[in-house]
Amino acid sequence: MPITQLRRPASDPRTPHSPAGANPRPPQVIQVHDLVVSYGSTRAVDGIGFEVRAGEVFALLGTNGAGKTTTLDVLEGFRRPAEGSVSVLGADPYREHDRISPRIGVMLQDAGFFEDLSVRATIRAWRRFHRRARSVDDSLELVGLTHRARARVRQLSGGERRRLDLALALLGHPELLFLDEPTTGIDPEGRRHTLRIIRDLVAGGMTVVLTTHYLDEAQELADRLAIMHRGRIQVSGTVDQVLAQHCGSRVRCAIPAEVAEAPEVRAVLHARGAEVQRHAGELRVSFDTSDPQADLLPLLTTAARAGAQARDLTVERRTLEDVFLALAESQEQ
Amino acid sequence: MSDMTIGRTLRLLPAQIRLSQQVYWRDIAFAIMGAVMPLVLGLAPAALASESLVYEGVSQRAWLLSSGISAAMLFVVYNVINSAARRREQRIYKRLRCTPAPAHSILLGEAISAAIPAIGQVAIIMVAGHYWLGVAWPVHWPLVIATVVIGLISLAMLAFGVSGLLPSGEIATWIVTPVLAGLMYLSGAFGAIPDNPVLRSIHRYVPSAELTDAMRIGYLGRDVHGFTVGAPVDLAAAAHAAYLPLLLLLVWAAVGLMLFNSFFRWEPRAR
Repeated sequence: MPITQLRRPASDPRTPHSPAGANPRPPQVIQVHDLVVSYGSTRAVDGIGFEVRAGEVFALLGTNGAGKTTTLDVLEGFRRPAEGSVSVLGADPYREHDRISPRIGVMLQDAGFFEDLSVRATIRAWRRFHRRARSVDDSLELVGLTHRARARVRQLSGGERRRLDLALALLGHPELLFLDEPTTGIDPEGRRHTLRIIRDLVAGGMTVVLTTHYLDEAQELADRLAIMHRGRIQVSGTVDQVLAQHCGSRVRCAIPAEVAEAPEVRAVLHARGAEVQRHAGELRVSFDTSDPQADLLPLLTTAARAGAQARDLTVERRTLEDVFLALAESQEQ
Repeated sequence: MSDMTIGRTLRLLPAQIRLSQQVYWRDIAFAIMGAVMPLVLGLAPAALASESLVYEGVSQRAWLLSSGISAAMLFVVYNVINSAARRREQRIYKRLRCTPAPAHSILLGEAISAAIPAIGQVAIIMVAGHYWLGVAWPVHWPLVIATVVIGLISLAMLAFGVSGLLPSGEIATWIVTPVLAGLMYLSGAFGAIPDNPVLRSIHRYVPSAELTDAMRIGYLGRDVHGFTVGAPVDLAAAAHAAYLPLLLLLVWAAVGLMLFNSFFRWEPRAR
């Protein structure tokens, strides 16, 4: 199944941005307020806040060192916040880790295995820690490692280790799943397989918090996201909201020079800071807009009145990657 | 710790012990190294001693064999610290902590698992001492068994607690080796502690010295304190003589637990 089909439809009752009043909002599973985590004098996480509701996929994005993994460490109960408060499944994840741990699955970014155990033996050993665990065969099949069941962990490729990681995280049928870079190092087919697993789990009601460097992945999977940079959340909201607020769409077209001279067209091009290049008697125009229809209307009607045509017209929706790069660049400046 | 956590700690303890044991025996090089050194240390001094030499009514071989057993048990410190530092470095403990297993379930499971091969080594030393070196069986079996169990669990827990203070796996070996040598020296297992006021005051509280005293009392059936050998005692009197060393070993176990609770980290210290 192509990745582009993975996103839940907006009409899905669990989708957080479903019309108000149509369904009661799902309960909050995670609440983070003014979270600060420091390493010595460095603030790795600097006063962030967000919430995650039951059944949604929340993506934490950001550059390396942005504070994503540190935030996950706090949510998973490995690190105590220096300031602020965190609630996971109604508990303080650091002080009450043992209370909530059976309800949580964690796929760590970089955690070791016992290298001399086989894949099957590893899953079997980890099963013993759960009261109601998936069977070994189901787990192997779920992550596509059945053919590697007898292999020792040290013989697995990077992608296969990530799959084993996912199998261990899912053993206890968790309600809340933390995925730290779940598809890093996995080949495209394996990545698609992993995303399909996540999509199916979410369809079954699981709440997922993930970090990823693959922005297309976040764009397709996440209901809501937050982009972190240097310990702070720079942007957050649904994917649509983030895209609409930052850049929106890129419009490109070629118009006759006389159309560009019309005052209403000039006003739009000026307001949008359009790039204009003269080429063979026409102007090639490109600009960013959050409302392509409103901005194109004067341009197209003027062209129509002049009996001219706006050629090679494209409206290209900006991606999360564009937003991400723009944010990172603006922060550097 | 809540009742729920205590219940889950006990319920998941066998799972952790089983996993730790499974992994221990897979790493055969580490297992052999961990097995051979204590056996050599436990048997060699008694084997080199004169068969006929008797001191205060105790054969030198019996004396050195009981001392050797306690010295062999000290190696549990070396094994636990090295393996704990290695597993923390590889983030295996962090992965284990992502399971529903409570922290103390992992600590106790690892400590008990480390004690299991050591119990085997003690048994081998006793059997070899009896059949090969002609040393009599222990006089007070219950006391010897209690000393072995309490001693090993205490040392393992103490080592686990201390491992949280060590900066990295590489440095752990360099720190633990002289510490182990110091513990052996202060145990008095192979030689008297010099009559120095500082050493004498430290010696009284060092876990290896307590272990050696308790083992000698149970094995030889004598009221032993350091190199002072008393008259033969029955089990009740032996237990009375050994209760303080055993109690101090339990205090050391509590110190290990406290260090674990305060300083143990589930992932490498440096980020």
